[in-house]
Amino acid sequence: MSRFGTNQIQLSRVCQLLWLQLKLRCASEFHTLGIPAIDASLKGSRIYLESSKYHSKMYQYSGYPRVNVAPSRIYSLPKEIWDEIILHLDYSFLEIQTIIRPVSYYFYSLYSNSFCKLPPYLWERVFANLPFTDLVTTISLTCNTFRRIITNPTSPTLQSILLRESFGKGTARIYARRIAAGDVHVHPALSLSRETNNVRWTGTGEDHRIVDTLALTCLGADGFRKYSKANATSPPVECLQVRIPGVGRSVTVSKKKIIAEQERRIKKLRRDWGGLGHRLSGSNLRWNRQFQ
Amino acid sequence: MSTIKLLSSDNAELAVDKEVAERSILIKNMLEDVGGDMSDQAIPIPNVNEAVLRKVIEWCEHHKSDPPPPADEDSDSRKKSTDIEEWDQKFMQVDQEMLFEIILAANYLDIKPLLDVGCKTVANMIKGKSPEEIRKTFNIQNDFTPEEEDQIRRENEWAEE
Repeated sequence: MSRFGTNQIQLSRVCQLLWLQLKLRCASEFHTLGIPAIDASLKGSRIYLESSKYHSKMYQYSGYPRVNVAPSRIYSLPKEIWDEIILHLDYSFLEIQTIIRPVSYYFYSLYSNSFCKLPPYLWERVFANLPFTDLVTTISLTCNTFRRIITNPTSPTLQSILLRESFGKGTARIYARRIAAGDVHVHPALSLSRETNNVRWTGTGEDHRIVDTLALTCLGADGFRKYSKANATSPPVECLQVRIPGVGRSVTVSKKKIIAEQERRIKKLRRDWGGLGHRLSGSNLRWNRQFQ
Repeated sequence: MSTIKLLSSDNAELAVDKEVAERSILIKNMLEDVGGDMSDQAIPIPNVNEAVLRKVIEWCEHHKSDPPPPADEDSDSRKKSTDIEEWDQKFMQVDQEMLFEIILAANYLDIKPLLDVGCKTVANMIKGKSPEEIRKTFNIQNDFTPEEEDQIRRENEWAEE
């Protein structure tokens, strides 16, 4: 019997629940193999298992090929029974979200995406009222679900609060680039004035340094187009752009770069741009040094 | 003043002033779509039971004269704080089950100010608590291994005050 693909398995009623448990466990393996979901149906003493093929997201479920599959009665099982089955699996909320829900559209809708009553996007709304330090030191330590919400915030408000001005590895390069307003897509914690090319801090984190002339960008494969979805615990912010007001040039600095080289660059800019260079020696430099 | 009827998930019919009901963007849009005349027919609110719907209506009645919230969802995001008006604080003094139900109802009915009050109330319940206390408050199981917990602590110790 092929383990994957369309199968028919005859089981006694006694074994049905056990089989369903196994089926649910298999869901993750199917996922590993790139098969998006499995489905099962009950008819008399038979359970039919088949791999289901539907496109990308489960909520876009559409009919998938059925071979020798009787009209499904699996959907007539009340939620209480499924609760009982899933209770035996001893799955956490996250496992239910990542294993049970993707099994089929039915399970997707049966197990709502909520944790302690609230779905993750409403937890994000709750967390948006908390200070940065609470989020990273307390909330992310509460449980895996909260940690996942904190490390993958989707709301711009939470992204703003969780922005951690830190540099990643492998960005030990200094760029000097012209900032054209259209080239920079700033992090939600910052606002970019298209008229003046100024970048202003608008984040709500109370302990963040105020840096008016810094543009924070994430250098993706396509240059400056991506803005960083930086967060507290896995910061993808790779570099900082220091913009010199009125000059129209910028220096991108990173953690790995030794300060001497930074200074050298800045000295060169000072030389190139005369009196305007002094603007680099203020808060921008102090701010950068915190990351050395 | 015209009244409309709302039908809760447990089939309770509640009469409410149109102006009050229109604090809910969902109901407001619905009324606009049908031309505003729903006097003879109850509007079904399938996700909200009677008790919760009564609480939501109570809030809407108290806040019926408030200016409408900004259309942009995140326009007020920079001014987030956990300050809650005194009346709202008292209103939210309900058990946790009801509190979450109110938040879900506010979200479903699209009543942003009520949703904000609910979220701030939950945030206040979290504020100043340790992870263990938060777990107790919301009956959350600690699903971290000790190693994972250590790792997270190490990752974030720079942020410890």
